[in-house]
Amino acid sequence: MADDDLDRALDRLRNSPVPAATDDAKARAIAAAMQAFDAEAAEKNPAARTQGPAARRRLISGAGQSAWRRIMQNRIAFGGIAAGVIAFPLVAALVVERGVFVPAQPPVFDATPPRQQAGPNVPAETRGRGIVDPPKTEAVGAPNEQAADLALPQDGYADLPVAPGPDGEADIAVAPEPAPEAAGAAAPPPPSPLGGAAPARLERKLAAPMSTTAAFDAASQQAPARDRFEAADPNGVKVTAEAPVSTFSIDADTASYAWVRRSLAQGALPAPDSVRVEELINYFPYAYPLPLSREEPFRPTVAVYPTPWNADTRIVHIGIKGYDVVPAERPAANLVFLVDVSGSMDAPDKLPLVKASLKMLAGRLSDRDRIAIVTYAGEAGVALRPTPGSDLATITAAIDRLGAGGSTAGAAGIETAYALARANFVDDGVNRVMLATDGDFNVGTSDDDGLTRLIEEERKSGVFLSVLGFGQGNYNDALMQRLAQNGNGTAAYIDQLDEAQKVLVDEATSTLFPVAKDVKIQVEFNPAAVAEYRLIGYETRLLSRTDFNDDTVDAGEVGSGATVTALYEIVPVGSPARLSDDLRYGASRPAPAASADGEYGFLKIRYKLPDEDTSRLIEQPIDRSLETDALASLSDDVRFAAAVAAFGQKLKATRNTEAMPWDAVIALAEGARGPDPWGYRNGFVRLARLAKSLSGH
Amino acid sequence: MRTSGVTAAARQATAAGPAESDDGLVARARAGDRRAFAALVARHYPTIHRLAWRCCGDRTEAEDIAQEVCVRVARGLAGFEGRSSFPSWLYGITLNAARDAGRARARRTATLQNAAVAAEIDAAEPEDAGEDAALWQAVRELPPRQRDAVMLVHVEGLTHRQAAEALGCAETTVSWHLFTARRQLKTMLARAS
Repeated sequence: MADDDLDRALDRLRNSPVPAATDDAKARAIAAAMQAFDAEAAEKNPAARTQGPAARRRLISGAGQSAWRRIMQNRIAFGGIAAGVIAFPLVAALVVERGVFVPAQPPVFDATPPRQQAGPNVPAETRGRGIVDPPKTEAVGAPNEQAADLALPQDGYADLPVAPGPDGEADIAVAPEPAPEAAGAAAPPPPSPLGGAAPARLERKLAAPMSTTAAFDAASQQAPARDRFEAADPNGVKVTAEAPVSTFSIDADTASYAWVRRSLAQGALPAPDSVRVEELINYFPYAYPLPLSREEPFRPTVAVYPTPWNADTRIVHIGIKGYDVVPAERPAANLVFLVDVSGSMDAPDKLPLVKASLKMLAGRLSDRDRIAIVTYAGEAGVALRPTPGSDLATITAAIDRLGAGGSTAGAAGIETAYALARANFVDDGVNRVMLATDGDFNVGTSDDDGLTRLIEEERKSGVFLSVLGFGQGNYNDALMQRLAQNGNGTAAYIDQLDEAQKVLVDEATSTLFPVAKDVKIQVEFNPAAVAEYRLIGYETRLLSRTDFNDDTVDAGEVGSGATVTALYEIVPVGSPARLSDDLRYGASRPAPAASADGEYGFLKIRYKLPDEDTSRLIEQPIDRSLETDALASLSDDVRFAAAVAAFGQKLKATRNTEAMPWDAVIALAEGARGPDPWGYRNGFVRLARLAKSLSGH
Repeated sequence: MRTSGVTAAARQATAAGPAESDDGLVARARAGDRRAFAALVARHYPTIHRLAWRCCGDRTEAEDIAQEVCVRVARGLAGFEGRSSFPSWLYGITLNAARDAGRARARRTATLQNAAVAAEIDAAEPEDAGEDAALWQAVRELPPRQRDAVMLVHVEGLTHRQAAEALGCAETTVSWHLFTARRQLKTMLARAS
């Protein structure tokens, strides 16, 4: 069937008659609506429902508020009686909260310089192929915005289960023993023997059952997907003369790659919103030169080379690798795992995978480290008091006892976890809460801001938060990202045991030990050399120009040995790919300093050491000496990053990479695999082949 | 809210006439004005019912869905902040309600089939006849997000932007759903013929 035929057929549907509703039915509907309207009016204090838009506390362009509303929307079932009961404290909490923290109107924030208008309308034949400026939409909220007014009261988590432990030492209640059948169902393997070999053995043991992911994947696909992703349109093209400075926070998360992999393995192209190009690129380790000492935690690696998908533009590749903490000077870790054991976690790819992952991590700890486990479901409890990492038997037994059941009470859990982390604070070490959940996370705060504030405050006190996402069906990616961003942590998505091995064992030091925090990148492009530019990815991490030097503005952290890469696509002056015309009335271009003639731009990186509050600065010109004319002469790392960037943009369905066929992406990646000791890059090539067949090319 | 305080107050003085804008009615209904709310529901009922019928193809079920939507509007109006247009918001609610109803029907059908009363089910088949029956069925059998996108853009005639508002996603996501849906429709229809 041709497109025309389909269009005609769909037009017939548009014009086909619809049986008119009977007056009777209409009258009944209106009557029912009026009844509901009156019930609403009676049940709710009007003050509680006129919630203005909450202020944006963090300057990112794609804030997660609508995402949080979407969650709360699912909690609408709390209506009726529950709403009546909680209405009064809710009103009080809101008054306090809004009065103190939230201005009536959100501050107007626009990090994006004026968007050029010529964009996609310029005829490609006459101008050469430019970078395509995607059609832009306003960020829109959830379709049903009624959500936020049915939250639990702000102080809902104040009454934690506080009961003395049997030995009187713990001041936080211990989780009750799970029901025997729950423990039985989990079929715990015998505790692993102590020693470094444990994780590897554990992995082999579990590899067989876990490799049958297809079975439960098929099951989970039948249910309608309620996974939530932040909608963020790809960054537009900037005209250097108008907006020469580009600023963003680094993003060392890798969650998006695992999600994309899972989606493709199930035979579906991932939703464009779930693809974050920078996270795909940063999933892979790159062998950038290491910095020499902790004092300067990283050194930038910059390259300029022809864009694989557009002969008329160039890529500016900026890579940084965090200082790799050697095991001897590795700080002690105080880890509190906050594990969601609510009913929704009762799926083969959720709690069992969490438990296996936890055991793998436990095998990496030493007697200097402490690990504790807090669960939350109906109520929060401590499943494992802080235990030395060497006591693997106790840790394993506690992990085995975890069983799913009950509804989610995230706020109580998060408070308990932070309380434990603070009680065992290690001054010169790493203090981190690690949240393992599917994102169906009901916190007792009245809105997302409350939760964010809690995490921010704890971050300032030195306890960081990382997020491990599990499962599919109601996965809330948007919330995960937001929590990790505000907690100075990374968000990883664990879709299979291999991924747990990567995040918690192979890259444990980078996952757990930060070498720099609040890392921001600012590039000023030279209008004499670069006509237009476009940042690839980082859509949810954009900062305004003035945020760069503002040390109070939070940004991403870099873990020990972690690599972070950012790519710009630039249109050199004189390239036929240029989309915009010179301004007739614009001021004449500022003449660049003579010495800067050869520079494409100037790179600045600001960062703080993990225990400092004042930022430090690294600067480096991006000059033409860094430019290469042939892709083939570049390192494997740089070419591989370019292949991943093309892959991500194709999945995101942006028009920029249309000219590059899947086969070219695959060939580029194949030729850039390098040694690939962990097999990640081979996995990527397989994934690209899968994407090619699924997209029907 | 899009309506400024002054105009809202000015309108408060007048009765709910047919010419009053959605925004005005919404503002007054949110402030507790029953008549404004009734006018709002009556005005949009035909649209709600039409989309509901298109989603399910069954007269009785469409009426049930439309009624459910009206109730959800009453409950949700307090949270509607005017970030999307009111009709877009309604479209979103209607699609959700239709999806819920579809799920409930699937459960009922399964129960009925288990009880071996297949005769009952035949009577509940969609009512549309003729050459487009296969197309209607194909559209209704699309995955939910794709079906929603096709319903809004191709059947209801919304722009991609309006559909994105109704569905709470980016415009590119709508385009992408449509792209996938069209490919699937072509396959489904080729198989049917």
